[in-house]
Amino acid sequence: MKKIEISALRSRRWFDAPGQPGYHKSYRTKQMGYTSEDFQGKPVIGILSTWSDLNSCHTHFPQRVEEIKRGVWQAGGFPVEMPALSVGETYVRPSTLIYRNLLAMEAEEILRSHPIDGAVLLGGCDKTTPGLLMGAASMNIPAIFVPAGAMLSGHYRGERNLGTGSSTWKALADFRAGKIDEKSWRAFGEGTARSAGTCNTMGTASTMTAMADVLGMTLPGASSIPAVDSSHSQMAEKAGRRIVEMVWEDLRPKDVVSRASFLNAVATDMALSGSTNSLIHLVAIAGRLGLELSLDDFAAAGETVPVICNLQPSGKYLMEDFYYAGGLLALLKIISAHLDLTCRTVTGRTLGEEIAEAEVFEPEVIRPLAKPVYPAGGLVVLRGNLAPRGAVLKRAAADPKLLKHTGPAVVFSNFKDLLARIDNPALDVRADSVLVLQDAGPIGAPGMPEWGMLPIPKKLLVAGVRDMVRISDARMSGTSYGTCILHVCPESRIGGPLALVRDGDLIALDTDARSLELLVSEVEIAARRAAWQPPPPHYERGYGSLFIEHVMQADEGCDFDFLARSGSNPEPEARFS
Amino acid sequence: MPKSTSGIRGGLTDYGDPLFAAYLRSSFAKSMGYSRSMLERPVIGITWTASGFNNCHRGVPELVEAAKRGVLAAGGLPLDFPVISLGEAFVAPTTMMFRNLMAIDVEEMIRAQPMDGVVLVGGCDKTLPALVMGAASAGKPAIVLATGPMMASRNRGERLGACTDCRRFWGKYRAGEIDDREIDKIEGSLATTEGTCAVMGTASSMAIILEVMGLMLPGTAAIPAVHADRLRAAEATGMAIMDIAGAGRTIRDFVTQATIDNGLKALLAIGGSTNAIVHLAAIAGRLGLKFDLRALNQASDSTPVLVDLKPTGRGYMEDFFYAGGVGALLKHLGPMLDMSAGTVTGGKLGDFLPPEDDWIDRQVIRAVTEPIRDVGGLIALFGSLAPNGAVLKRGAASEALFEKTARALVFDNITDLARRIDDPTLEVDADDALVLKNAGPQAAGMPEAGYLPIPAKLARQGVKDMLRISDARMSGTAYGTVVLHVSPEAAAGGPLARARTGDRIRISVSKRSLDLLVDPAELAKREPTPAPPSVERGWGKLYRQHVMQAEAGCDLDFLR
Repeated sequence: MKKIEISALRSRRWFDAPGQPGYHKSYRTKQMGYTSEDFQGKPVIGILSTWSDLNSCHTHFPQRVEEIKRGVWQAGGFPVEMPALSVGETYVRPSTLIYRNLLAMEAEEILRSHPIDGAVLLGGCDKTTPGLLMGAASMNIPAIFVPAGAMLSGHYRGERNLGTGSSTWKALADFRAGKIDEKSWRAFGEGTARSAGTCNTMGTASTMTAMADVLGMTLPGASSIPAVDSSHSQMAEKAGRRIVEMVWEDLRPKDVVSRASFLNAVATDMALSGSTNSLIHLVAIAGRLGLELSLDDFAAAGETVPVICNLQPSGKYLMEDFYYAGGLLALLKIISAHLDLTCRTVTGRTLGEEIAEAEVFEPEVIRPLAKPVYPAGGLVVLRGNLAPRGAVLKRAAADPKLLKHTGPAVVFSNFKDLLARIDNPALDVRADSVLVLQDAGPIGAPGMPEWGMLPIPKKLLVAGVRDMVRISDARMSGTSYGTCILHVCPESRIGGPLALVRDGDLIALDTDARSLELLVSEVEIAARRAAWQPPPPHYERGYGSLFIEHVMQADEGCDFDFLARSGSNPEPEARFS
Repeated sequence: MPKSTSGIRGGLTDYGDPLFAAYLRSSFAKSMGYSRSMLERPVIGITWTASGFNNCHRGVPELVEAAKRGVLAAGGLPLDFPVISLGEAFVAPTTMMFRNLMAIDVEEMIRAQPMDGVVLVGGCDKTLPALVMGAASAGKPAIVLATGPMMASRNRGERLGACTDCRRFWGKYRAGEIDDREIDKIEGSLATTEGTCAVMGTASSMAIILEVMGLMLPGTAAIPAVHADRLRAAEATGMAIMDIAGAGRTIRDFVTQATIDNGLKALLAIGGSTNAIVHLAAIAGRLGLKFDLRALNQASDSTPVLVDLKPTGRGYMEDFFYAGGVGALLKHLGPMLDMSAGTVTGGKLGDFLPPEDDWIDRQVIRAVTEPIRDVGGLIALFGSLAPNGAVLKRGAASEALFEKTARALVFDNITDLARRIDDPTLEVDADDALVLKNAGPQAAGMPEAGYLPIPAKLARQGVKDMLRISDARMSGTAYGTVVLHVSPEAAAGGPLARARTGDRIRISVSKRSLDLLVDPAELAKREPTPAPPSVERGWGKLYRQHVMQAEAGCDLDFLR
């Protein structure tokens, strides 16, 4: 199976650099307590860990790194752990999306600037998966992704299916409506986050790690293993062994992942009723590999693949149940007619080979095609004069009664305006109003935060209203739900039509027709556009200014233009000491 | 739920509902195993820069643990977070290309995460400046904790440590004076403990000037990495940050022009690294303070070199520590500094002075009346070859080459240099000036390529030093008559781009001048050597587009 010789490894350009520079690398490695036998003549495996005290999802990574190292040593490699920016979803403000590209850039540059032949990427919390994959894709050296795995199911007073995010959103609505007291609400919250690992619903983290799995970038099925299961440790060790083989086989991301792999991922996303954030991330990752992927691909898959994964927030169960039901491989087997089974994985085998022996053990959790959780069309792409470049609606998480709806707009010009007025008893809003949030897109907010599930005004909550049509250029947490139209593109900050909506304008949503229209005359829209002025920029310096200058729109994956493009980015010379 | 906006509830993630965000964060924080009472405390972030590729930072995990103890003991919740780690020995093409990336990472993670103060732990060359630049811009209370230098080692009874000796032995090996077996043995003895380079290189220079600038606890810069005092310093730093955070004291609050000027004078008195000039300029730039090369010359004329360490002198960092460290230096240099400058602990630099009767080894840290040299080790040169300045470490240079007109032997770029320098047919004479173009910030990330090797055929004849000129930097552990940081660099259209082999170049250290003796009209007619091909994407592209010249600290323009 060995394809390349030791002399062809990129790490040799450091350790075998002529003269003093090579000598220097060697004695500095010895400074760390290694002998020559430890590192000379072996592939160097970089382990990029996104562990942090401020990343609650990744608390088990130090242990996993040890297990990966065990595998690397066994297989004859030299493992080296390195820190990378960790973007923990609950701690980073204003929005982790701003830092996904920073992580991607950092991961790419760490891999490029160090003597690394193969990379093991540890991620899981929402943005870390796409960030690491984007960086590894641009670098295109052999790489394997080790997903963090989901945390255990939440338990509270005999309730055993409490999902992080999804259940807590619902509990918050109950608390705000006065149905439960603060003490119960807090105890409930603590019951929903019980162990290391990412959110236990099919939120962004679980969706993205599943996507990495379908793309072939993890050991097959790895994404379904709960974070604290002993199989997770075993998976980490296997990944360590496998990456060394991949270096010898010279198996790189661009050899593994093709456009067909992305179409598989999109189909799987639909069957999972995955997070809407995956649209942005998959487009961004594909862009780094030079592969075509657009909203139209999601729209097409959405029309044909039913939701068969019965997990919150669209369904009932949690990631732990999904694993015991057979996990991702079993689900892929069910939808295999929608997949290209010849796609490769990091194992070097095909997806078809990997799922051959998969089996569903809990047909209530992973449904047969004939008994879906939701028929085809769980996620739809809407277009119209309000969203010329598209908008996204997770129909499976929406109230069916609102899918065809026309109502008057209640417009919030930005998030501060929303916070200031949403619970004001005097707010002129009805159950059939359409809540519109402007200036919450990639440049506007900035960072396209997960504001898309606009809160229901308190006075309507108390009256029993639990869902309304809500429209914004924001994203939505993968664990959120409701008739929330997201990712409206182009965003309002760059003069997209969303910026021109005013209170009382009628907005028509027709989900079956895939349309989203602002029922205002062309002439009036043109007049408003002529008078429109963008708000002043958020940032005048620093990374923030870089972000707003270079970030692309949601339909292009919110990558930076200078990172997304192809072009020369030469391998560094390693000749200084 | 408390309404507090500090501690773990500081800067909540936006989910469109602040109450929910606070609730979610608490429940996630509990998933990390913290009790509620722990989560009520002020949060202290600690940067984590340990990496398998950072030999100097091998001790960082233990230091972070000790700092955490200090924070806990003082009633805070310490949380460490990773930032990119730049190990000098392994990062290619040069860590300098990534100092600003690290500064962005540090600034943004301090800003984006809930913390009331931050301990900046680092040591390897670019780490300390990047941490300080990032924290200065982020504007939260911060204190520096240096990793400390490694110990010197021994080979056949001779003391040695890090790259000054590495270069010396490699030079002997190249000249055939020592054999393969010996060089292999030395390989295992050059760096025998964790910590930064054992000499007055860039890492030690930066740690010392940051202590003089009041950014870390007094007496902590020079403690060897493996010394128990280092862990005690970490503990004390962890305790101190709680006070600093309580007072809300940020770097901008106490670092003034006097601080920068003190740092510069300290750099001169220790015979420190040329790289520190660039980093000091960058730090000043972040704070809107002045740093210019003419001020360097003024300070250099009046500041003696007091510290006798390699690469310009004899000792190692452990000698400096045992001799009294920065406190002793301050005591001797005090009258030349502004001792009223503020410090991170809220007092004045004067408070950092050790007790009157503390012992000082005056062989290592000299009194002003018996200096190693009367004037500072670093000077700037200006002239037609370097209109915006160039830098010479005169303390590490050969005086015989200080006033000289030499024939230029020009290399167009680093590849050209590597290809031709050891060619036996290279036409070169010991009196020539070796000139390297296209190794500046825009062209190449300003690698430490300025220490051009002596051509092999001259080395074998026993030539140890030559005049060397480039727009590159030089390792803090290197030495020789090496003119660096020529600005504007060749790739930015500086006169260096038009220099040719055979031109006469005149250096005068006494006049602080560096001139290309070519008629300006003739020079204008010449085609400049082209800059290297452009980088089309990624960080490399961003860096090249936005990096400023050496005298401005090589920061990116949009980060100032």
